[in-house]
Amino acid sequence: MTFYSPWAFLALITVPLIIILYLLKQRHKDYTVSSLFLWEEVLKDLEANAPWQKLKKNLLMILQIIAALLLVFALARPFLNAVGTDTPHVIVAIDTSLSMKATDVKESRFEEAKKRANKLISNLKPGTEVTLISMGKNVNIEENLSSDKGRLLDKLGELKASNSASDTEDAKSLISSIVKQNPKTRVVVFGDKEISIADADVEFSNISNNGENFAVTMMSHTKTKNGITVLSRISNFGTKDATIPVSLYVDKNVFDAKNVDIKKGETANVYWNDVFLKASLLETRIDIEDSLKVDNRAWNAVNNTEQNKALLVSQSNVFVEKVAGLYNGIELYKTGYESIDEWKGYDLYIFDGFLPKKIPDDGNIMVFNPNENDLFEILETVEYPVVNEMDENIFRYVEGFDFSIGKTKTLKVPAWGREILEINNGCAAFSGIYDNRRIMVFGFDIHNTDIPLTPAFPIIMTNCLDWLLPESINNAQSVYSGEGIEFNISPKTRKASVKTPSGEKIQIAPPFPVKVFDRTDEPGLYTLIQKTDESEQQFNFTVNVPSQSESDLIHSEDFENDSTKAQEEDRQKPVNTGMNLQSILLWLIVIVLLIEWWVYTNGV
Amino acid sequence: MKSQLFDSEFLRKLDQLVISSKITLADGASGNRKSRAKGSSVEFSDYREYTIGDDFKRIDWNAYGRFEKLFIKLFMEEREAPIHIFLDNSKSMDWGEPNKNIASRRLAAALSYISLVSYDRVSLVCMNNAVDKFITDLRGKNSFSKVLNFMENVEYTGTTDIYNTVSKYNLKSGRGISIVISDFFTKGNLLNMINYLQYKKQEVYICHILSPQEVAPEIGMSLRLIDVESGEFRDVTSSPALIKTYKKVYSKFISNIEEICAGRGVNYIFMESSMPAEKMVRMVVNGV
Repeated sequence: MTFYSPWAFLALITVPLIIILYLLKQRHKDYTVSSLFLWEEVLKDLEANAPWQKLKKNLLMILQIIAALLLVFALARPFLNAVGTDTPHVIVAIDTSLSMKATDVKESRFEEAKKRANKLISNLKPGTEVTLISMGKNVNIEENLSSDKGRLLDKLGELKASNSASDTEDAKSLISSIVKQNPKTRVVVFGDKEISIADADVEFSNISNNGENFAVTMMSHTKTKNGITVLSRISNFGTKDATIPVSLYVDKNVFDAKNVDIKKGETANVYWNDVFLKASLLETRIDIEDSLKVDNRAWNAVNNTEQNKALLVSQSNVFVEKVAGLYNGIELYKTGYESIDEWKGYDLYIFDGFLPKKIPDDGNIMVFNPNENDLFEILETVEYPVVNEMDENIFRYVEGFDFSIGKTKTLKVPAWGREILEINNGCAAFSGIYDNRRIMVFGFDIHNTDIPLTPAFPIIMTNCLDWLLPESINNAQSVYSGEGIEFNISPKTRKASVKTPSGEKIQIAPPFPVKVFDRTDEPGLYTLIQKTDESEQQFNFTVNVPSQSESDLIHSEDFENDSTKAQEEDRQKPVNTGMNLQSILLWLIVIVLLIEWWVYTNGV
Repeated sequence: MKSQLFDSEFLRKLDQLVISSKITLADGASGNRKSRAKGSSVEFSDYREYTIGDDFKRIDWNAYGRFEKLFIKLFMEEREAPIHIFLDNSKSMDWGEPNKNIASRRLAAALSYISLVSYDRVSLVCMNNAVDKFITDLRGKNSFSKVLNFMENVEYTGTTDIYNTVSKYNLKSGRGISIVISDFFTKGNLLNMINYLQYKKQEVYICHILSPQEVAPEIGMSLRLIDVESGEFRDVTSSPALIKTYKKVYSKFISNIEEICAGRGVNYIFMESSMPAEKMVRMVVNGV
């Protein structure tokens, strides 16, 4: 047993004080009576009836001394040490990932984790420094080396389980580095996925009751002539075969419902055909109660993207014209160098052998063989250069592609640009975002290369146009809760905002460039709203929970194994916390005071 | 009369009491009282007006002839019954609210007055642990001022040992009435005293006076109880148990005295100092 505030024993002075007070109080008030004749009989009688009368006479004092002693002990903060808990620094890590929302333990795994952590922190030796870490999509140090228990418990109370997957690798490296700095560190992890760290002995408090769970693990759609075909992948993470009722909602109305038989630990694909083409939001729901509700729903947005308008400014470039015409989602217009006034309202301008003094006010720009201009600097013209390095993005899918250039201008890459084609004499092509507009410049005339003659040409052009005319979101089909999204805001956009599933509207631009949008914890339908001077453009995208990684509540592959069952039981053991005796003592004080009150009122 | 103890109101009430009260010897009264006068001449004492019920033979017809009123001749020996009033004047009697000393003195005075008016011979004895003071053989209504004077000057001191003191008092032999007024907070033997008085052919009246605070004490805190007589003290802390035990002891105390008195055929009258004197007198006269 340790006393953390031994100075409190100074308060033992109260004990003699109480006795002195009693002695002073014992000076009874004088009261003259006619005779003690009867009173002596009374006192004799009282003492005869209760031999311990004298003790009783001082019972109140004894009770008060006991209460004072208990109070002094409580103030001294006695602590019953548990073996191995006497470390100066403790890392308390709590898993805040989606699976912690499972309700297979009372309230939820997360609440249980918080309770256990609360108990651990409360019972720590005062002065112990605690680093509180939350392990969600990001690993956050909520409180670093703090010995203020109140603050720690507040922080702990504020923690919320997220809908994202946990990044255990990050957590491991963070904890590992802290432990390296301070080897006398005790690491306690509260969660449902055990983590082990090479250099540290991790106490893992497993919070799991192996709840049955079903989840929509994937959802996608394709458009056909007859309508949209939707694929929903349903997984049974339970320990029994199950018939799972699944429904498809289209624009929030029930479209179809099916019962799917899925064996334990297996996954079934459910197809829904002939969903009408005008649908904008698809949702798959599992209509059954299980341990984790969040993963019973998944969404898919259907965007009917409009055609981009592109203007080719060229004397004659049949190669570019042909390829751009083939590009899906482009409406191509052609014009000569002279009609400068018409150059507005396009999403993309392709200048061939020419770049006007004043570039158009809107749209992205692709330039071949530019002339002198204000936007960037042209260095020199070289012949037959050797290609050194090609950009991975623009030249993807054409690995090993070999081509030659007859003549090209070398370019000075501006601060906003990035080299995409390096030749021995310098840079032959670059791309970059300038004034929120995507600009791609090639120093050569396409006719002075053999590129158009190769089968790679359409692929390269498609890659270029993909970059120049991006979708509003990369990977719009597979955004998971908690992940950051980089929006490709159109150059024409003046103001952009995102509407969340709960209806909140969050402005993301201005300022430009747009920062990564990370408020994606809530699953469901999000809408990116881009306002230009003339119109408003909306793009729907959905955020789903990472059910692939988080929905398996029992880690079925482990569960099959008997030896791990024993480990499982072992992990269920509560964390060694020691015991703070203060609250027990305070309760005892209350009991003693109640007894005293009873003695006093009943005049025992 | 200026006395606080006996104001005019009290004295007026005494007269009323006389009409309805008469302390008589219990066992057949007059015949016995007269026996002492046998052989001696009839000693005239006084006249008084005839009242209904008086013996016709005693009417003084000569007086009737002169005054045309019926008078009775009273003879000393016939009516004289020696009445001893033993008043406890220990310190304990000077206590209580209303004070027992006032109640007891008023009672003693009232009983004396009634007796004197009835031509009885009255002796007053104040006692604590010894005979403190006394006057004896008061006769006639005129002696009442002596009684009052005596009563006014009673001092309450000393401890109570009334039983022994009574036995030491030189009680003249012959039948008589003894009235003992006390709180009986004493360790002596009450039975011995009664036996002694009865041996002396006394008809005994035990007047037990207590103050209301002695009957039901009100104690609200820790007290040091100091005996007013001895100065001894006991510390008590008020509690329901204490009060309960007191009540138990008190009733045992009273019933003990009652038992002794009943056993010896003695009149026991319990009274509280808060009672009016006339009520106390009536209780004594009626033997209740």
